This record gives sequence, C-alpha cells and structure tokens, in this order.
Amino acid sequence: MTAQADKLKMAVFKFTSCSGCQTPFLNMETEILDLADHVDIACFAMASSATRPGPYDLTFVEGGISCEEDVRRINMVRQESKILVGIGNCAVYGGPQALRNFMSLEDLKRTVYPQPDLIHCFPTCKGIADYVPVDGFVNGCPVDQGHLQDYIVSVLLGKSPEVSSRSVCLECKMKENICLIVAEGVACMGVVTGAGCGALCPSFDRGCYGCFGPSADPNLNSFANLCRELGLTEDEINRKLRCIVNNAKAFREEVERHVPQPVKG
Amino acid sequence: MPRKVMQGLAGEDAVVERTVFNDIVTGLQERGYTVYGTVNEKGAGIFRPLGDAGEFSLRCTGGTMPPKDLWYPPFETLFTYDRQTGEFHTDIEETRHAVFGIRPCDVHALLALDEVFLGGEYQDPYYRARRVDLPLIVFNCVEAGDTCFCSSMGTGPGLDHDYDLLITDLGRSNGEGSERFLLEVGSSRGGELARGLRGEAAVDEDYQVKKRRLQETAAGERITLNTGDLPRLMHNGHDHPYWREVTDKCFGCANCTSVCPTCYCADIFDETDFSLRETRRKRRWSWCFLVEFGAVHGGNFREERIDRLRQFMQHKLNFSMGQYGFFHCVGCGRCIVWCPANIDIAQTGRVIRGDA
Ligand code: SF4
Ligand code: SF4
Ligand code: SF4
Repeated sequence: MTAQADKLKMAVFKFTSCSGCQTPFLNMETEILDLADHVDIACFAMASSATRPGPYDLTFVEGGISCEEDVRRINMVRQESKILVGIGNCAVYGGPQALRNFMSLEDLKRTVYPQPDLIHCFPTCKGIADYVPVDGFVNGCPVDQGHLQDYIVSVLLGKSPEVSSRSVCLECKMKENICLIVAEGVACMGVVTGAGCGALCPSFDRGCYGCFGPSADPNLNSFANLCRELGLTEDEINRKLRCIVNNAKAFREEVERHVPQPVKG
Repeated sequence: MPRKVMQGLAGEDAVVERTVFNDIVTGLQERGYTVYGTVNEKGAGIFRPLGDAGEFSLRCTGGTMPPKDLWYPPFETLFTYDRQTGEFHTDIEETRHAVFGIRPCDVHALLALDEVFLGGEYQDPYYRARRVDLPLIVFNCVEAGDTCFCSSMGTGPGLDHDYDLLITDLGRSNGEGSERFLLEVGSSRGGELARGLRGEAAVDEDYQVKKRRLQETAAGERITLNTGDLPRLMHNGHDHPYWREVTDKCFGCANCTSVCPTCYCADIFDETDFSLRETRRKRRWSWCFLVEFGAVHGGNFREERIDRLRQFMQHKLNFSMGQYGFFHCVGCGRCIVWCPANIDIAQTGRVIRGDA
C-alpha cells in the first residue's frame, strides 16, 4: 500500500455535459480497489460530496464551456492541476449541445424555455482547449473505460498514453464485420471516424454516428461525395455530420463548405 | 479407360466426391487440429473453425479476411514482465491449426510471410510456433471472383506446390452425374489424410480437365495487370498525377491494408494492469496507411495521405520485388472489394505503367 501522500492525487470535474463520461469511473468496479492503491481520488463530486481542494496531479474534465461561470471554473481547475485532461466529446469539441453554435441563441431559448430571460449562457458551447491549455484528450461520446484506465496507468508509469489514428473501419475488420458501405450501401461514418468504440454500431448493422470524432486525417470531401452517391440529400448529409460531434473542425468545415446552412430560427 | 474404384485409397491422387470433405476434416480433427474453413455469413465468406465439412462453403472464393490471423494474429503478447520481481516470462505455444479450403493466392501470401518472418537471419519465434505444423488443404479456383487477378500476379488460379492436399472441382461429366473432385496429394502428411478415403484412381483425363478448368478460370478474370517491368515503371511513376486523383477519393481508412494477406507490419506497445504488478508487451497489426505509422521523433515521414497511399501500392507492386524477389501483391482482390472508395490497386498499376 502506497502512503497517501505518495499517491497520485486525482480529480474529476464536470462542466456543461450529460455526466456520461464520468460514469466509466464509477463502473471501474474491480479495478477501483487496485486503483485505490496508487491513486487518491481527492475530488469527484459524482462519487462523493467529500471533496478536497487542489492542487491535483491529474485532473479529468468532462464537459464543454458554455457560460461565464464555466470560464471562471475551468481557469481555476487549470491552475490547480499539473496534468489536465479533457474527456469526451463535450470537453474536446463542445459536445452535442454545440449544435446551438450554428443557430440563433435567442430563438433557441424561446423555443425551449418558458422564461427565456432566466437563461444566461454564451451563444456557443466549446471545448475546454478554447479557453485553457490542455495536456491531453480522451475521445468518445461517451469515453471508453479502458481508455481512461490506460490514461491513469500511463501517468502513473510516466509514459505517454496510447493514441491511435485508427479508423472505426479497422475495428470492424478486426471483428470481421461485413462493411456496411460496400455490402449494404449505408453511409457509415466509420471511414472518417476515429476508433475507440470497438465498432459498436456497425456490429449491429447500424452505420457509425461518428461519436469518437474525426479520424486522424479524414477525407470529408470524399465522404460527402459518397453520401451523395448513396442518394442522401444535402440536408441529410448536414444532419449526419452534425449529429453528435458537430463542432469538430473537420466535420464542421465540411458542412460549411458544401451543405446549405439550415435556416436560423 | 476403365477406372479402378477403391474403397480405401492408399494415399495417392484420386477422384472423389464431396462426401470425402467431411472425412478429411474429421481426419484432421482426430489428429488434434482445429480446422478452419470459409463459412457463409451474411453473404460473405469468413474463416471459422469448422465443426464438420457441412459448414464449409465452396462458393466463397478466398474469404472476406485472409486466414492470416492463424499464423500472424492481429494482437499477441510477446512477453510479460513482473514489475515486482523483475522477471520476464515468454510463453510461445505451438498451435495446431489446419486450413481447409485455402486458395492458391493465400498460399502464396503465406509463403511471402514465411520469407518475412523466417527467411532472414533473425527468425520470429512466435510466427514459427504457429507455422511449424499447419496442414493446408488447398482448393484450386474454378471460378474467379469479380476482383481476382491472381493469374496476372502468377499466384493462381491453380497451385502446384506447398499443399498437403489439393482439390480441384472437375464439374459433372456432361453436365450431369455426381460432382467430381480431383484430390492431389502433395506431402506425406497429405497422404496420411487421404489414406482410406473413398474414390477412384485419377487418370490422365482428370488432369486434363483440371488444366482446362484452370485455364478457363484464368481467362475469365476481369482484372488484369501486366507485371512485366512493373517495378521500374512504378518507380518512374512516383509523381504521376493519377496518385493525386486516387488520393482525393481515398478516406484514409486503411481497410485495404487491413485485409491484405501479405501486410506484415506491426506496432509494439505495453499494457499494464491497474495494480501495476504486470506489464504485457504486445504486438498488433499496424499499417503504413495510419498517420501514426510514419510518426517519429521530430516529425512524420509520410505526412500526407498521398504518401501513405503510394507507400501501400508501391510496396505491393514495386518495393517487395527489390526486398524479396517477388511481388507482395498476390492478386487476391480483397483491397479492391473492401475499399469503400472503390480504389483499385490493379487499375492504379495499369495507369501508372501507362496501360490505361
Ligand atoms: S494488395 Fe490487394 S490484391 Fe494485392 S494481395 Fe494485398 S489485398 Fe490482395
Ligand atoms: S503495404 Fe504498408 S502495411 Fe502493408 S506490408 Fe507494406 S509497408 Fe507494411
Ligand atoms: S480502403 Fe480505399 S479509401 Fe480506405 S485507405 Fe485504402 S484506398 Fe483509401
């Protein structure tokens, strides 16, 4: 047993998000005992209200930056953290809620809330790297428990975590899935999406939704052309690219380049 | 010429019926082998362990993925390291796999990997442990797949070496009667397996039918590539504008390299469990199509997608010749089938060499 003071002091913070990327920490059922040997979880509100102040050795941040209060907190968290890691679509790109970046905030507020004037937020939701320097990212919507574990172990061992530029296609191939594009003519986003989910949707005959964000060098122009060949309308392509990881640069730029913008409001 | 019908063959070439497939599979299983063969799943052929030969599908040409994982698995542990005692532990286990229905192109691909892993000064003990005892029941191809070009690459549709048993569908005489297969014995291990099977002694005419059927198959291949002087022409075509054209379509997904039976590149990484007690050093398939592949200290030597695509095709149609003395493209056509962008290595070869 490592003495408390020698352990890695870890924190998990949440910003604008659904909490789905913190859940894998709670799901580390058997691993958590081993983890407790080396890691001191000092602050993780979802697990315990007994939080201790920083500084922290390793901080995971879930959620995008959506309002003034988020900006104040992310700066505070940055100051208190030696290693700051953004986890999940929201922290990396702004999350599904970044859809509002492409619409009029006032119209949205009026559509959703009975008292829109009570809502104080930015017209955009963005990833944390737009506001503070970040040391690393773990992709996913939600992230994969194994990737989080790998990150923690890597920090404990002082080595760089595994990052791979593999596409979802390669996970399909390793599972010997039959390619949905080739065999079924489905406009599957796996060809332009980073691996990490284990090709979850294609394994159930659903085209990839792009949850892990763009792959390392995605050819979105060719993907949009493929969608057109498969009979998708410009609006359908737009919706596909804006479905989950809408604010990732490669997906966003492709929509902006080729697809007519939705009517605001 | 009257045929000698035999209840039990003594291990010589023979003409047999489909029923012997099961005897061969069972014979292998009785000798302790796990037998893999193509099974029809969702309209495609996938190599699976066979319960019996009934599950085997003759129609699926070479399988969606090659059977490469049997001798070169996508992930494997090279050694484990106990972080407390500092001890290393290597566990190399000899496998006993057999392939029933491997095709000539894939046998050539296996021989190419033999050259890579066992041919040089340093041999790969992990590969050897899976290769040492690997019976191959080869099926010659009497019907080419849509994307096959083995006859261009000189790797099919027939094989004349490195098989234990070789089976060629002779068709039905005059279009009727029972299906007939020529069973050829290529090794003492194959002879053992053939002993006791029911069949007729093979006669000259059977070899003639086989020869004719293979010629017809070769002639029926829709994809061709002239390999004469190809490495030099590919070398000269390094800056051909066609590379850009293809790259503009390419997703960079690496499906092509992942299904190739001769791609052998790997990446080594460590996996440590949460207790930090044990580290496993692993090897996994990797490909020049991945951005990370060319990432080295200080930069990336294949920064652009065009560089990665060109490396893949140049390795198959050019560099391999200089490295090993034969092409590492065996013309199986898998990279063509499974490219979601319809990119075609043979077409690229034709354009670069100036034939198309
Ligand atoms: S390059 Fe393509 S056609 Fe050639 S052996 Fe590899 S997968 Fe088959
Ligand atoms: S084509 Fe690429 S991945 Fe395949 S063997 Fe050659 S260098 Fe390796
Ligand atoms: S499979 Fe096709 S699209 Fe994918 S990397 Fe290979 S050539 Fe490019």
